[in-house]
Amino acid sequence: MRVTIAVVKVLSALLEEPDRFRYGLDLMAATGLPSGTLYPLLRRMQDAGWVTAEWERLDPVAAGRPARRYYRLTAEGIERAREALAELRTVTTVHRPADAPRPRPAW
Amino acid sequence: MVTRRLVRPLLALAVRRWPAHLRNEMRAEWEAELHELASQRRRARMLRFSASLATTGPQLGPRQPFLDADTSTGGILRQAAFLVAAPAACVALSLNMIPFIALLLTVLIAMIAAAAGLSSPLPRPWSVVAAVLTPAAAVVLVSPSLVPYLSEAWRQPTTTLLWTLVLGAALSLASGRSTRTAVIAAGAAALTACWSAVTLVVAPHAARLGLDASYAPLWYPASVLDPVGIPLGALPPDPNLCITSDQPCTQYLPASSPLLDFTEGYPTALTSITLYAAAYILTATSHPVDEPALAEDA
Repeated sequence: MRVTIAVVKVLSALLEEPDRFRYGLDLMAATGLPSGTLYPLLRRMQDAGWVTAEWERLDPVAAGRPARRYYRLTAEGIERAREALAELRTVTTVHRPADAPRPRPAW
Repeated sequence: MVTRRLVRPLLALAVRRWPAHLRNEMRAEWEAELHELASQRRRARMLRFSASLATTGPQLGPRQPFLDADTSTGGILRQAAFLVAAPAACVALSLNMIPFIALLLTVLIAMIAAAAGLSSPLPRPWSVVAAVLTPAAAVVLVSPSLVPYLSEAWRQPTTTLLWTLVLGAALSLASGRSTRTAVIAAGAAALTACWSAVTLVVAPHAARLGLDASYAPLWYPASVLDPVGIPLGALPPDPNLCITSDQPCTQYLPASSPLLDFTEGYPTALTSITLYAAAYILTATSHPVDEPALAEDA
C-alpha cells in the first residue's frame, strides 16, 4: 500500500495508542482528514491487513444510538506503521555537512 | 430537521459510490457518526461530513463509474420520463420567458440532466444519443401543433433533422473521450448544429420579414448574445430595430408570426435543448478507464 501523507496521519493517530480502538469521527479529529478521504483510506488499510475493524457490541435501543465501528492497528499494521514513520523521518531529516557553518545568533 | 433532509440524499449518493458488497456496512457506520454529530447539534459538521463522502469516490481497486446504472423498472421509467419532459420544458421556457431567464433555467435543467446521465441505464453511446435526441427532435417538430402561433422556423423537418444529425454524430464521437476532449467537441458540435439550423431557417424568410438575407448567418449569435447583454450592433434579432428603416419591424409581420418567436423563441429553444442533451449524453457515456486508481505496493 502506498504511504501518502494521509496514510501517515492515520498511522500516527492509531500508533499513539495501538491497543485502543478508534472510530471514524475520532480519527477525523485526530488527523484533520475529511470523511471522504478517511473512510476509503481505512478500507484500503483493512484490505492491506494493516487495520482491523470491529463493530461495537451494543444494544442500540438501550443505548439510544447506533453501534459504531472501531478501528485498530493489527500486529502487521503496527510494524508497518513504525517502518513507515521511521522512513518518513529519515527522508525528511535535513543532513548538514560537517564543514557547513553553524548558525549563529544575529546579535 | 432541514439538516437531516439535506444530509439524507448526500449520504445516499455517497453509499451508491461504494462497491455493492460494502454499502450496508458503510451506511451503518456513517449513520452512527452522523447520529453523534446530531446529538452534539453540529449541523454544519454533519453537512461537511456527508458532502465530503458524496463528492469523493472510495477508489478501491479498478476505477468505478461515479454511480451505478439504475436498471430497475422505476429507474428506467424515471429516466424515460425525464428524457421526454426535459426538451418540452426547454421549449416551454423559451416561449414563455425572456431569453436570458430561459437560458439561466436551462443551465439548471442541464445540471439535472448531467446528474441523471450518471445513472443512465443505457449501455452504449449510440443508444444514449438516440434516446436523448429522438424525443428532443420530436418535441421541436410537434411544437407547432401544440402552439399555433409558432413561426415557420418550427415547421421545417429538414432543419430539425440536420440539427439532430450534426449533434448526434458529434456527441457520439465525443462520448467516451477524456473530459476535456469531450467538452470541446461537444461545445463545437452544439454551436455548429444550432448555428447552421437557425441560419437555414432564417435565410428564406428574411425577405418576408423585411430583413436582408445576408444577415442570416449572424442571426444565431445575435439572438443568443443580445439577451445576455452582448449586443452585436443593430442586428435583426433585436425586435425593436429594422434594417430597412428606423421604424419597428413588427409592421412587416403578420400577427400570427411574432418576430419575438422567430428571433428569440426558436434559437433559444434549440440552444436550451442542445445544452441539456450534451450534458446528459456526456455524463451518461463518460465511463472511466478500467485501470488501478492507486498503486498497491504492499
